[in-house]
Amino acid sequence: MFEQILMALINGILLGGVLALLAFGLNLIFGVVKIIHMAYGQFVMLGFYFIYTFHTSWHIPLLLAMALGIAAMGLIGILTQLLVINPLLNAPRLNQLLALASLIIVVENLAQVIWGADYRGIPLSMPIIQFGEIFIRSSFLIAFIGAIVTLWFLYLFLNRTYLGLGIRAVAQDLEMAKGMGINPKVIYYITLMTGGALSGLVAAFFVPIYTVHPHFGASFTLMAFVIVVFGGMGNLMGGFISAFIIGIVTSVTAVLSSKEVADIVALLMFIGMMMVRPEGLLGTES
Amino acid sequence: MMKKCLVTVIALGLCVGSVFGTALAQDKEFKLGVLFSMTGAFAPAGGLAGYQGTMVAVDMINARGGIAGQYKVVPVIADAQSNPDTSIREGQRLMTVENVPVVLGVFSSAIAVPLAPMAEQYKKIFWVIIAISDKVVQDRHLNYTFRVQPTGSQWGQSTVTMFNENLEKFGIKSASEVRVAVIYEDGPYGSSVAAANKEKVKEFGMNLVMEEAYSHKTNDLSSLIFKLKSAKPDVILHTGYFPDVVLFFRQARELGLKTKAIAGHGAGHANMPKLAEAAGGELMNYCFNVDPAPAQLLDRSKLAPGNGDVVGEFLKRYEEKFKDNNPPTHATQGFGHTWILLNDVLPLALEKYGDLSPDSIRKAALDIEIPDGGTPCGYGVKFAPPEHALSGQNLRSYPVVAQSVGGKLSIAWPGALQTAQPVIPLPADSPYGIK
Repeated sequence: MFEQILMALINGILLGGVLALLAFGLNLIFGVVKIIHMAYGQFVMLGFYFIYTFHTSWHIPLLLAMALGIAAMGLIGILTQLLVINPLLNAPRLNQLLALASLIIVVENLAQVIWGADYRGIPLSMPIIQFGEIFIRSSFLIAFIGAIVTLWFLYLFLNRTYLGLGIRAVAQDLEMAKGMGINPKVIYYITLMTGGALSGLVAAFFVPIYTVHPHFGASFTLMAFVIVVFGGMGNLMGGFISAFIIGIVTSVTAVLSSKEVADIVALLMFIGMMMVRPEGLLGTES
Repeated sequence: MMKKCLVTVIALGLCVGSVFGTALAQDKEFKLGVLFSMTGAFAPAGGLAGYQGTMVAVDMINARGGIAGQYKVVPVIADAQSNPDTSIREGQRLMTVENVPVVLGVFSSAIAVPLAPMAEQYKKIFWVIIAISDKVVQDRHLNYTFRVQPTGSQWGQSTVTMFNENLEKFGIKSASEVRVAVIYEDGPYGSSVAAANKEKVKEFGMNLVMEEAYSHKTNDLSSLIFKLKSAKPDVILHTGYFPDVVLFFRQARELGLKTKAIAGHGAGHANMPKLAEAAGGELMNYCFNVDPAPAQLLDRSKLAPGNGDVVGEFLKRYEEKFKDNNPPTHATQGFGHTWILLNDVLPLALEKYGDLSPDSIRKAALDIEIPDGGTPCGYGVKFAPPEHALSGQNLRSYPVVAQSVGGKLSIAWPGALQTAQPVIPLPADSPYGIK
């Protein structure tokens, strides 16, 4: 049993890293543009399809296909800002939510039309990492390391560059940022591009783990929302910590009982947080 | 002269009458409700293939002049979208707005279970093509639901019986030494199959070391695999849809799961070429799967006269229409089960009861008796009467256990249909084989 719990703990930490990356893009967009990107999981799905197509249909080497997939999703992020978010910036919150929820259907159906209903995957034989009786999933380890490195770069970008400073300024006080000469529209485009590229990056890390289909993104949107709201909407560090809490709790509970009970525990924690601290773990009252 | 004119007029009249008569026959149409998950998670798992098989059967019947050479089959197609709520709405629309006498189709048991009572309510025939859960018919005494497909229990019993008949291959003498784990998706489909797995395991006195259900929408099965590793089963009996099956195979390999045999029970395990494409062929090498035999594996010489040709025509048309010369078993199920309705049941309803109303079709279905080998599916047909616990269930259908070795599928069980000896235990070149 000790061995099982130890493996579950390691699995939970690795899972936490992947979830942190998943939640980061959603959190960034909300923090800066104040828009809830309802179709974020669907963007991950789209990124997965791009990588799949680049690699299997266009025969581009996998790593290059992943890089192109990330770039393509950055472009999709810009297009989303241009075509969907810009016209809605001053609309009531409900209208924004409905429009972005509709984007889910548009993206899913578009994927269905282009790639069909089939499950598609890239068969990859990942190395087996073993320490005695302890096995570590290499696909999750790569995703975990990738997530930590990406998050570190994003931290540096947001805290050590003028552009990052501009993004944080818009997130913290839009009027003041405008007064300082920052053009928020440019910042919004950069944020959506970064968020889109992050969804492409998550998709790249998902390639060795999952197969993709048009409805692949739905469960990830829900998971990302739970993490982001649990950690405090718009608070990047809160999202990061909550991803690890949820990853570890679900993984260990699933070993001690079952996956279904683990999901119940995670959502009960979420409900409990909303009752005790509605602004989330590190969120501030608006 | 007068006589010549009269003959000409009569001849012309006959010609016109004949042409007009043919036109009338062609004008007669039979609206057939077709409801499959053509989009959503169940589509690639088998919903789409089932629909495609059905459409080939419709084409073939129409090419032969329609039902009993009189009624052209006009399919009214609806997409269940892999969603029980949508499928209920669509089923209701077909039965009431479109007013079709028969709704056929349905891949998922989670959709078939709620649709069957609706058919009862509207007194329309529900012809189940793929869904296997016992719960679709069991103890419901339905009058209007018919299923040619075997039941989930038969799926669950088949693998355990096969392993029980091959104990010596595990290097053991007594069934009680076999350690069995049962893992399954938690819907009606998985539950039905797992219940039958456990019942047979108990009957043979095998050792059930673990059982666990999970949602087929799960994104992580590692906790399940940790438990499997701890339980050290000789045999893993798995029932799942597609993404969860791929996830299981991939994660089991990465987490170092070792066992002696893995057996799937249809749905996600059914389409080996697709599984190999998505996850890598070596992962499911030597794995077993239970399903009715796909058309290309049937020994056509054992079928009743004429059926071998029908199977051949199906394979040819399927390849022409869908560019696939190796159709998945769900396509055979879609074709064969639709063929039985259109080629056997409906003509009997016309002949014996005079029309194609739901009640006439129901009576004809209960009358039908086809011996083994008498259909393009290989098995026979005899539906359980309303007083039977499985009312409407075909009591003559059965699945087979097939094994994939090096991408080639062979029938391993039952012995009478066996095309190759089962390879047990998993050899060392399987990622799950014990070295």
